[in-house]
Parts: sequence; C-alpha cells; structure tokens
Amino acid sequence: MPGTETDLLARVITGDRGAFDSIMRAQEDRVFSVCLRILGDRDNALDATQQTFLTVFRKAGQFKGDSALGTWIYRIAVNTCYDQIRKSARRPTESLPDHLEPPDASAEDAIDAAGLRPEIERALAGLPPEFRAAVVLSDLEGMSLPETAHVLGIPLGTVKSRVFRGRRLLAERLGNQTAP
Amino acid sequence: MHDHDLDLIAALADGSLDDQTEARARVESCEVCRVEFEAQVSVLAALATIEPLRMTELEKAALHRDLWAELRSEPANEASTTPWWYRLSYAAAGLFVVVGLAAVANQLGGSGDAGGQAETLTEASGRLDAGSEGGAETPMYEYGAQSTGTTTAAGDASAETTPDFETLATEARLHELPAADSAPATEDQSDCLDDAGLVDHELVGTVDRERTYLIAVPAGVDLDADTPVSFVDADTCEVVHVEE
Repeated sequence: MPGTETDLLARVITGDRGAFDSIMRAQEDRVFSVCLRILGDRDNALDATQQTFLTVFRKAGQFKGDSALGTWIYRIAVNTCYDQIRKSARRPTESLPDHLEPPDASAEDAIDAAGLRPEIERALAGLPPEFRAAVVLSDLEGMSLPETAHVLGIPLGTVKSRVFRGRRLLAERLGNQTAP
Repeated sequence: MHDHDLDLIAALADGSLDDQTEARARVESCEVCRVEFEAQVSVLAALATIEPLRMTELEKAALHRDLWAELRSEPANEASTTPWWYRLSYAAAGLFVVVGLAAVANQLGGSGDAGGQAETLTEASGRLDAGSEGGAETPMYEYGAQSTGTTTAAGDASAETTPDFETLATEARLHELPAADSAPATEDQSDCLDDAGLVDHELVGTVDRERTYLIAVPAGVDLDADTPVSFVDADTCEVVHVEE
C-alpha cells in the first residue's frame, strides 16, 4: 500500500474525517462507475456508492493491508451491489437478471435515461450479474485478472471463465457472431 | 470448443498471453477458434469505446452531505475504528494472562488434574480466538447433532425440528457459533449454495434438526448486524430462510 494511503487510513482510524474525505474523493468516481455498470441504474448506483463509503469508514480498522486500499474498497463496492441485487430479487415485482430470462426491460430504460451508450450498456446489463461484474472490473475498469479475482473473492480460474464467457455472451448480444 | 482453447484464444485477444505461439496456431488452423478470436476482439474494441462514468458535481455534493449526516447520527463505535492489530494485542495479552493463571494453578494443584487444565486452556484460547476474529476469513461451525455440547440459546434447541434462525444468524454475525469443525466447505456444499442462487456466498456453518441446513453469508465481507444470513436446505439446495 502506498505511503500516502497508509497515512490517510491511519488518520481515518483515529477519526480524522478530512483524511477520509481525501480517500473518498480519490476513489468515488471509480466506485460509482463500477456500481453503475453492475447495477445499471443511476439512483441505485449512488445509493451503493454511499453505502460502500459508509462501510469503508466503519470498517477502516479492519483493513489488513494485504491488498491495495482501492482493491479493498472495490471489493466492498461489489459486495454492496450484490446485496442490492439480491434484495431487489426478493421483491415480488422485480426479478434478478438471469441468462435464462430476457434482459430486464426496466434496467434498459434506466440505461437510456442515464445517458450510457445504449447498445453496449444494454448488452452488458443483460449478462448474469456474476459475469457482468467480472467483465466490468477486468475489461472496463482495467483491473488485472488476479486483481479482479481478489475484488470478487473468487479463484483466478473462475474469473477467467467469467470474463471470457461474459465477452462471448456480449458478442452474441451485440450480434457479432453466432456462438461457436 | 474446449475450455482450454477458449482461455487461450481469449487471452490472445486481450494481449495477456506471454507465449502466443500455441494460440495463434489454433486460430489459424481452426475455423471455430478464428470466429471466437474475432468475437473476443470485437467485444474488447466495443468496450474500449465506452466513456468513463462520472458523478455530477451535484451528485458528489449530495453524496458527501448524506454520508456525513448518516455518520453524525450514529454513536461512535470503538470496535469499528480500532485497528485489527490493536485488537489482536488484546487477545495476545488475554492469552498471556490465561497461560499465567494456568501455570499458577498447576503449581498450586500439583500434577492432579492435567487433563482438566488442558481442557480449560483449550476452551479459553478458543474464546479468545473467537473474540479476536474480525476480518473476512470466516470459520465454519457445525451445530445440533454434531455439536460438541456447547450450549447457547440456539444450541439448546437441538430437539426442535426448525432452527432458531434469528439466534443462529446473530451468532453467525458475531462469529460465536460453537466451534466444532473449522474444515472448509465441501464441494457438494459449495455446489448446493450455487444451486440455491447464493453465488459469492461462503458457508459459515451447518445446523442439524430434522433436516440439515447450511448457514451462508456473503463472501469476503466483514460481518455486522446488517449482514443477511441465509439458511439453505442441504437436501433440496433451496433457501428456506434469510435473516436480514
């Protein structure tokens, strides 16, 4: 962990809110980006971003330093997004996006409203959540596969499988090919 | 196409392959492989055109305002702001005291009840271990029929047919399920969680009543009072209860 991150986190642990503000400003756009691409809804992504940083502040003392601070924060963000997806899946009027079902039309409307590039974002939103998260972190956020594995808390082989198959599903949805 | 081929071709497409010889040979000699390679390349090119996402300044201002309002409204929590290594030092100090007391007891009591002392030490260090556990590494426990006899509100109910989900969830969040077995989840148990739709969850214990239930929490998160705890029927692999 870079020295500045170590220093900032040590100050957060002592209750220094200015230090926490610095960490937040350095990471908030990327956390929001990850959340928006996983959730496909701007309001939900803002909620997830806030929840992520609340958790970071509350759990700052539990950061073990075995990864970069950013990696730890993205892991919290991804888990927060999964929690939101699970909660919305339990609501009777909404369903968890599933590769066996057609993409969620309401999610696609939200993408249009959010001003994202529709055809690609729509294809992304149609992926199963676990594939979507892997592709977002690896191919959109530029994380290495080992870093993606750490953030998602799954083995490297599983990450490769999800990223590569996620791309294949995207290709099918974008009409680039018929699956081999 | 085999998984190995897809891994090879996808890695060739994103440039993460050190030795490209085998992958290039596949692409040149196999039509299916060539189509897969072109699909992976085209998707990567499409993804590269996506603009980075940013919050607006208004959204950022609202985020900071709401977050600090939320933090100001809650009482200070010493445990959450105490570094893990600091809490570990408490545990080490506690262990030192227990060992010291045991040594004194040994001197006073002679060689009389060595087995009993060993048991006391084991129980004490077990409690310390449970108390110092605060991270994402979550031990697994078994309950009910396999229980070693540790008594808790939920553990006493082993004769009942339905577990006390609320108590079990609370104990799971506090890492206070009685430790009987810290072995990792079996492949079948992991598959069962996946079948139940609990991807990216980890098993923290099992409970035996009339049926066996798997106790699962989201993987890699620090457990707190808000963590949902899921109970899965080990036979049907269906979620029977989620304690929010």
